Amino acid sequence: MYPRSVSKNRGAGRTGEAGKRAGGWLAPSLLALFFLAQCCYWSVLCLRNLNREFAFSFSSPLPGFAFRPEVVRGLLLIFLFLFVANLAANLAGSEMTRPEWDLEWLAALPIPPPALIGARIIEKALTNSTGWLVFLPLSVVTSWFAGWGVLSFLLGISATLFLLFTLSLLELLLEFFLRRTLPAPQLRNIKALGSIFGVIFLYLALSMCMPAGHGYASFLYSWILHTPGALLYSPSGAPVGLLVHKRRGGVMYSFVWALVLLALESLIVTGVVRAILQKGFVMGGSRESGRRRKSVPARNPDRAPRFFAWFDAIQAKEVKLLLRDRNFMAQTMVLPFVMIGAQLLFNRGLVEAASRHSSYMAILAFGIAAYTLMFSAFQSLGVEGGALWLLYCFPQPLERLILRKSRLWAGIALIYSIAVFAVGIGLHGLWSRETMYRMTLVLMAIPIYALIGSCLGVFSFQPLESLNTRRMRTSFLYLYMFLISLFAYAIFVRGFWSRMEQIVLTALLSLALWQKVKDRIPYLLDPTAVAPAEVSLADGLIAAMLFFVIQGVVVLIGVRYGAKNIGFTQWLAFLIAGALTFGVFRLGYWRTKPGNIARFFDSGKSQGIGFGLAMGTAALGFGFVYLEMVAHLRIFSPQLRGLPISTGEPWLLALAVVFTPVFEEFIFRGLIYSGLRRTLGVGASVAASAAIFALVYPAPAAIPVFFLGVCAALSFERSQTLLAPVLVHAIYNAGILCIRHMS
Amino acid sequence: MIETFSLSKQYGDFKAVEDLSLSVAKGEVFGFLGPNGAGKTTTILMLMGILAPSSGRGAIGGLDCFKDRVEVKRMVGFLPDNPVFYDFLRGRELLEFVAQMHGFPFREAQRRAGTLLGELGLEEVSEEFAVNYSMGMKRRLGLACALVHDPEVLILDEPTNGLDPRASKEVQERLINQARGGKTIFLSTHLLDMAERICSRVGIIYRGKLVVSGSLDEVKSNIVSGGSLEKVFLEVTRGEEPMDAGK
Repeated sequence: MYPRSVSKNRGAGRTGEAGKRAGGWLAPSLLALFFLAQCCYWSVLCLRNLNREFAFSFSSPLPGFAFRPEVVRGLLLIFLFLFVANLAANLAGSEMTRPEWDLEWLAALPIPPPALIGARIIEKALTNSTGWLVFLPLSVVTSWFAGWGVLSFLLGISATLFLLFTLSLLELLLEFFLRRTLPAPQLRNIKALGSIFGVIFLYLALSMCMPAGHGYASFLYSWILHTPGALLYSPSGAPVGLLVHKRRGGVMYSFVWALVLLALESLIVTGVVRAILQKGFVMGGSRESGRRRKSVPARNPDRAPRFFAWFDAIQAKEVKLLLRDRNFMAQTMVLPFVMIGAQLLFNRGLVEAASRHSSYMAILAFGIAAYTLMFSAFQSLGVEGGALWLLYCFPQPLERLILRKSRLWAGIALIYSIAVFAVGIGLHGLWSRETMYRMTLVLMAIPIYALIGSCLGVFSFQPLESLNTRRMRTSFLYLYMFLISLFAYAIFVRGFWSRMEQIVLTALLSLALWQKVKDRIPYLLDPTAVAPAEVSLADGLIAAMLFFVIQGVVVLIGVRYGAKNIGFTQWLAFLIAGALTFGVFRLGYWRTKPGNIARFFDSGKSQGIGFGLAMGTAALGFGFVYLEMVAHLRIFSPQLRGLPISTGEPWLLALAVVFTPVFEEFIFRGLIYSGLRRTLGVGASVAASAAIFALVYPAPAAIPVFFLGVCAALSFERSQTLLAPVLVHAIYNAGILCIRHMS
Repeated sequence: MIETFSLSKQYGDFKAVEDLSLSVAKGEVFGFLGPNGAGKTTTILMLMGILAPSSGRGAIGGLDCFKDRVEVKRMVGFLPDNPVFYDFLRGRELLEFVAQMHGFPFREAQRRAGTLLGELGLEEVSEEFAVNYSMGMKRRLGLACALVHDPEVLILDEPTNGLDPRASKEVQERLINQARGGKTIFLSTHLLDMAERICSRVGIIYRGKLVVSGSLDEVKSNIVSGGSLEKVFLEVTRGEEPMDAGK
């Protein structure tokens, strides 16, 4: 409804989300570069593994080839796997099941069919981004290893182009053939199968590209010995010939053969497609039909379906769609098993590790849940597709509906991950306190990641795009994958506090994203309007991170250039980090002018001063008692206990007492606390903001700083100006410095 | 019941709706007329809180259409110009889902869905996936979705588009009956004979601006003496109005 309605009679400024999209190229290009680098690394590993695996075979390189015959066969096998994987994945991602087909109306234009088909082949080949990503690095690296130097780029690009064109021809043929012969439900089955086979073959290929020494892919290397060398003359193998030859003659010969093969394929495909075209484009109505009323046994209206009574209305709808949409079903329920199963199958070491270490088991349990969420929670809005308008007609906030969906998917993911733990504990008797901790951590993280996935899914969803394939921006999916991989760190880390830190930070991240989602949702279907600027928790978290990083860098530089007095350097670092972060954010807000930015002083609210003084004294008192306790109990090492002492320049210390509070209160109360308060109550906001405040300080100071954070947040809440917490902070700083000086 | 105060919407430089002020009283059937691309759908989407007004505001039952968009939906039923449904939900299930989302318990939702499907002649196809419906059936199902919670206000974008003559007549009669029962109806259309038959008041929007509004008789007698609604429509949308749209 909306895409059409707003694009009716569109002028230049009305296209898509023209008004909303700015600077959207940087993140995707960075991601593309990252993946390209990753693929290059894998390619190098692949060749190294092959060379090492067959280093002791007695065969010598074939005449004219740069590698041993086993290595050539291995490469042929990998290219074949990648070829099949790419074909399957592209079929899965195609728009075959859409009733309307762009070629149908293109064919109605006065263009001769060969031109039409040719243009489609070229378009498909050149825009196959995963194809480029997969084949180009491997081809160039192979050619490089064969000793072609700079020329290997040219050879790599040629081989990739041959492969992409062959793939494109095959895809076109399959699409025409399948559309012509199969009804929509079966096309859906094929798509579902495609997504599963794509992953399996990708994993098969990848299993040969992993760091060696983990028992990877032992059985695949035995397959290589049975790989027929004749593959070199097949469509997927001919381009490999360009890369493995040592002499020019061999390369030329391979090039000519690949060209001949491609020409033959084109002839066959265009011939078949033209024959198909002569009988018309589609096999009549490609609509899926449900069942007719007559064929349904009369339903007893008094009997509510018991299964769906477990869910509320929107969850029940989601489950129904899941059970009926085979593609959705395969991706959400089957693919995670396939992916995890493939890892276990190819990586013998992993099975062993998982059966001995609870951390690997926890990784598996979290991994399977994360894959499930990637295809379900991430799609919370995506599955609504064109029917999203319905959700805007209900007296329920859309964000709450998304939350309920995310709860449903979290439940399903939890079942999967509990099953993994059950198998691990049941089969291998991995029951220990450490296992229990890790299990709790993973089970706590899954609902949080379901929410993060739902939020990122909302950002990636472009409801105004009319093409299904363009409705989801993949960069957010990659971001989600990145965040998921970060959690692996939390699983391996030891110690209660470090784990709590991870969970708290992840939960705060999900809250920050949730806030952004709530801001975005009212404007989701509006092509031009955006939410008015407001200070959010996300700003606060970014500011805290910036503060933390700059502070670390300054200390590092100080130590590098021989600063003797660590305590003094630390003070200086806080000051510089605070000033820079403060400046950057003030500049940003000066441009965006958010409505809810905290003010330092408000003449109408002078009672804040008294409250600030009282709270400051309380914080200082606590800090003093804590310092005494630490000194008596000898909890920390002597160096740490001496922090932050200073015999440095008094004027800089004065600056630290006056200005550090200004900068830090702006970040931790002005941004983080205000951001939290938009979504949470006073208690939770005070605790969470104080926790982040304590996190950026060195460990020994964490407890008094947490208390300082609580006092500052309370005085800010009370006075609604930043002056009060600045006073609290300044009194604390000055007091602690005095105490240190005197002792 | 429905009011707009200088409601405007701009897409970049393009002014889709400009300074629109109108009010529809309770129990009225208001026909919102205008040629293609005049700003009818944009106005309706703003009333539904789906688009954010660039300036001005709309209100239904005293609640702001954008700020209180969630609360407003309790009293509003909406039919878009091109209702799209889920791929794998049958007509009956869809209607039950909509009723449940409006807060009815499952059994009540089932009862309401059954009644409406029967009344709108969708009983036969109620177990078929709604995406497979013909244009007319989809529109009737959309209308059922708008009616299922018995709202006080109906906002309908081209309600009889794509319906065959019999279905169109039935829908029009249903709307007249709803209005008699005290419901307020705001419908957009470019079918003038339908507007003449069922609307108590009309407004004509042209290039984003409301050029005429009033009761049928007022509109007819003020613009062209003794003319039909068609003559009025052709007169006010002749293109000699100041065309500052796009500047």
